[in-house]
Amino acid sequence: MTFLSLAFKSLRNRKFATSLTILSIALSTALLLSVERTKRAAEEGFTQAVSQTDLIIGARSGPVNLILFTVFNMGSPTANVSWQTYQKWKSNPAVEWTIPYSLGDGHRGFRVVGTDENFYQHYRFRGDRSVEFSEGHAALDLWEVVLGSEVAAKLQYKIGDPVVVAHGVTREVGIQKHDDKPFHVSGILKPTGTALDNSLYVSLQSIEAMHLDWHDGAAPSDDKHIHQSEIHKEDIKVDEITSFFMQTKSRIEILRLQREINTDKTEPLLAIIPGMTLAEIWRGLGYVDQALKAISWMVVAVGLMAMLIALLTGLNERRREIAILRSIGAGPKKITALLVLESTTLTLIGVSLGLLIELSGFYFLKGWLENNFGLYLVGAVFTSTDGLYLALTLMLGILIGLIPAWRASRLALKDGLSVRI
Amino acid sequence: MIELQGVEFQYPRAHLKTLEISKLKIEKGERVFLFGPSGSGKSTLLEILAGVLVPQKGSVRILNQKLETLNSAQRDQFRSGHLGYIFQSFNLIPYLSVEENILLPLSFSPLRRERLQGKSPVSEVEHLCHRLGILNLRQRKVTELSVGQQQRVAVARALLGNPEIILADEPTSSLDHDHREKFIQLLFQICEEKNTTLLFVSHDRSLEKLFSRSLSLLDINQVRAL
Repeated sequence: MTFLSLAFKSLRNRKFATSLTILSIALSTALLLSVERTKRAAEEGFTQAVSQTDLIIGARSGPVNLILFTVFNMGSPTANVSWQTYQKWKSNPAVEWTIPYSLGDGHRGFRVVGTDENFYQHYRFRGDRSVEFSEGHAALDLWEVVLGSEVAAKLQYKIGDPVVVAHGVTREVGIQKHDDKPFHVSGILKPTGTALDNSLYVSLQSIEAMHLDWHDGAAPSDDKHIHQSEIHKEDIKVDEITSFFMQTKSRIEILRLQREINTDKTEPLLAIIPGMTLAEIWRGLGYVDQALKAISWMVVAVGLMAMLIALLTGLNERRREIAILRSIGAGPKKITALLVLESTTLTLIGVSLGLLIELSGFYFLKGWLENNFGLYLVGAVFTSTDGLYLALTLMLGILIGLIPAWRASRLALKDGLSVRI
Repeated sequence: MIELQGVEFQYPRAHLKTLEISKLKIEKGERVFLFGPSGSGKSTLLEILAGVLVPQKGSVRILNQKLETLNSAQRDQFRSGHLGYIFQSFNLIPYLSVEENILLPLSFSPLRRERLQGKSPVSEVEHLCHRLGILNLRQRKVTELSVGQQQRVAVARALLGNPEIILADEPTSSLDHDHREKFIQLLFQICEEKNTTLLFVSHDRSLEKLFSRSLSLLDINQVRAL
């Protein structure tokens, strides 16, 4: 009959209270770890919303603005980049590829992006994930459009359906519609969990074609109207784009090229390194993560309090037991040790179970989280931060266990061998 | 064996002394009945003898060891090695089996383990249980036992590893009359076999006649209960 098995059997005797205590510690630990894991996934998801792109280039504004409207569909560009300038940088020998982006039109609240085949070929996110089709093919012809997964799901469009693009990105119905020039759905993208899902993609020429008969931002009068069938892709000259993505041939070229673009006198442009800007924005959003973390630590505190309460209330019923142990020679120190052993065991089991719940929870809910929340569990399953949190919780549990242990030894001294309750 | 000299004890924050004993001596192998009505300081005296309480004055000598010269951890160790204690009731730890309850003192006392002289603890438990008529109860849960059976288990636990002294605090108060006498006779027999000294404390004078020596705490204690 060892000391350890005595503690274990005592805990087993109080199965109900013990399992509730373990459960409360386990759930709070699981919550703490889940918040950490979610934060990690959100951070990776955010900072890798676009990857393998070395530079994003647009008209001179601010880096945050540029990344928001190119990568997150938020805000709007202030000026454009001329076609000549784009061609000039595109043909720079240090450049591997570029993806042009032409923005400004929308469809029922979703943004329409004019781009070219490089988008389908080179755009990457979350490491090396590329743009894939769930059905259909790229929109390379003049009146073809590709839908992001969310667009297709919300509007319930199928391949071949007509799509009328509105001038400007508006909710519901556009004030001015290009309803004389409808598009047809040529493809639907697979879900990506990024802003790509919420856009429609057409060719650069399509954007120009829609506005071919427009002058000074106004719709054509009936006599100036050019019919859709009269427009041919080969005849369209692209004047300007909004921004473009760039990959360099070698990483060491990035900074040099960035400086070169930023200081070029012919057209004022801004080139940013997306990873850096994204990380900067994420740091700015840090308070959300801090608030979540504070809440989960409070939950851990509540879990440990539950243990404290369970142990303290159990103590009164155990005064007889303690008197018996004293009569056979257990000193107050041994009684203290017994209770510390109990609370440590409870916390240890609770924390381990919490880890198990968190790991298996994310394992089994992975698909569901991706489909419903766009939360992609990229990154490590377990990090040193998690380890630190587990150790901290365990330590707190042991510290809190000292309170009932201290009280038990006080009671042991007070009661001696004759308990009168 | 047990020798008290000029012992005075007062609880902290109490106005009066609880116990004042000028002299008390119990010899080896004696079976002493100590009578005391409630409030006369029986439990206090037993806890002083067990080394749980330390008197403010006087000397408590057990097996030639002055308890007041030991620190509290040493007194705990001394108690576990040399004294067996039987409670009035609630003698057993509810979540342990009969056998585990009886074996419990061995995990606190190396001395009691030594005294088994290499015999396996389980066989010693078997022997004691056989003597006490609870042989077939060893694997049972203690909560399934009758009060009389529980007290026998308590006796077995007090005796395992042959401590020199058994202190019994009203162990028969929850037994009916017939069982009381039988229980005490059995306790005597085993104490005799093992040459164990027994101090039996009770408020029930009807048991007095069974003992070779009887003391009244009212006579020994110079503090008069109100």
